[in-house]
Amino acid sequence: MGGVVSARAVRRVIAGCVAALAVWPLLHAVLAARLGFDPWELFGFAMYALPAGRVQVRVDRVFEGRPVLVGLSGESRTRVAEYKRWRQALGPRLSPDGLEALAKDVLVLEPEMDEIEIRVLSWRLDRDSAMLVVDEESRRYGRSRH
Amino acid sequence: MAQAADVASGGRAEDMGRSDAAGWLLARPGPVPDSKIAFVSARRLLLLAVCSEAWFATQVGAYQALGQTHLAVCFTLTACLAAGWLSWQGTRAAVGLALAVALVDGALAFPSNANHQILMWLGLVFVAVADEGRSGDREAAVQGLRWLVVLAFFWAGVQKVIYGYYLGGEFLAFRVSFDPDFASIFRVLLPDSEATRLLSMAPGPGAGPYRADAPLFVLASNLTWIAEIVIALCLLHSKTRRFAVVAGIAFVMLIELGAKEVFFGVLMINLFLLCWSGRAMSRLLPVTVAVYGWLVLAAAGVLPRWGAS
Repeated sequence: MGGVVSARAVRRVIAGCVAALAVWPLLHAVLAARLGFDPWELFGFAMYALPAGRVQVRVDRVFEGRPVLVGLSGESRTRVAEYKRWRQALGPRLSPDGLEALAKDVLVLEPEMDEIEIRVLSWRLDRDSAMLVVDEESRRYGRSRH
Repeated sequence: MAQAADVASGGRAEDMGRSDAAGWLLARPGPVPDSKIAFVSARRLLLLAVCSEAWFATQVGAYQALGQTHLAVCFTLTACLAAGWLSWQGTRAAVGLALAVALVDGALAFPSNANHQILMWLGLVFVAVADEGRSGDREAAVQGLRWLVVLAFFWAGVQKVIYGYYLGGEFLAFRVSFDPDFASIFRVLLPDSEATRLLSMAPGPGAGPYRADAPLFVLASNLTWIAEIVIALCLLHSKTRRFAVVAGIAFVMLIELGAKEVFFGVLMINLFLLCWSGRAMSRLLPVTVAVYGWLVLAAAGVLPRWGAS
């Protein structure tokens, strides 16, 4: 294998990787701001540059028009945890897993629920005020839609 | 004919090809007089790092979910470590296989990856493409690894400036409020009233302000990113390189007291030593082996646990 890759090619591969890493973190910062993913992810060396993003996902059964906290099955909890993992890391725009898909899966796994409400709470530390801020997204999904 | 010239020249320092951009870049940050020992030590470190982390990750949720696949990764990386430890005909193939397996494992665990994994993966690329028998290749790989340290530290510092949470001490105040390891280190820089206020804050909507009216605390916060950038830049110059290596290692050890990112810490300390000399890194290798071994056994519950990955 020694003679297969020329010395020049070796230098170019290594230098190319170094050059890519030299510019990626700046591009990472721009993309994180535009696309909303957690800057701790995707190898931008922004871990510990800001508080890590935190997402909470809550699935309630809608009973007589009001959300009621009920225990989900193990499979549903696993599904919700998977959604949360992607959402927390990549944000709502890049995450391959959307709320509709989550709702559809939960309704399949929880046949006794006709309607559910999914609340996604995204925690962040506002830099200017240094206060903890929560952005909330809440949607209801009914079995009739699916 | 060009290939024969490459082989014949053995990739001597003067054949680093300063005439092209790649050669110019890889002539820095400094000379590599002991390229053989540096290259072999780096290869061993990287194989050890990916293998140890894979075993440690068997206790991490995202990797546990991969089940038998990740276990197969662990055994394969262990075989690659054994095959790649010594220099023989199959070493390069072992490194290449370790790289491929590590990348697949990382892709399967995505997005639950650690930032420092990119340093390990790139390091394995450098060691895999380089021909150990050519001094030019060895030097290029070692220089590439040195650049990883420079860039990691530089960008870590710049990112702190970009996001701005260190300029007023907000990030550290936030961490002090809920992380006992951070609190134990930075509390001494806070007046009692501020420390009490931060530590008593329960996280919830509207909690805050996570900011401390303490000049020393804010100074320490800003010294963090300043140190990272200065250390990175000092690695590039021969007159300041030794200072940068010592300061960098001390800085990493201080980070470990709070963040406890031990795999990152061990990797960075070794790469800093590589910026000094391959011999220095080689001398630390037994300690590195011991630390990685302890981390793996701690994850398995055999030894007491100290830090995370």
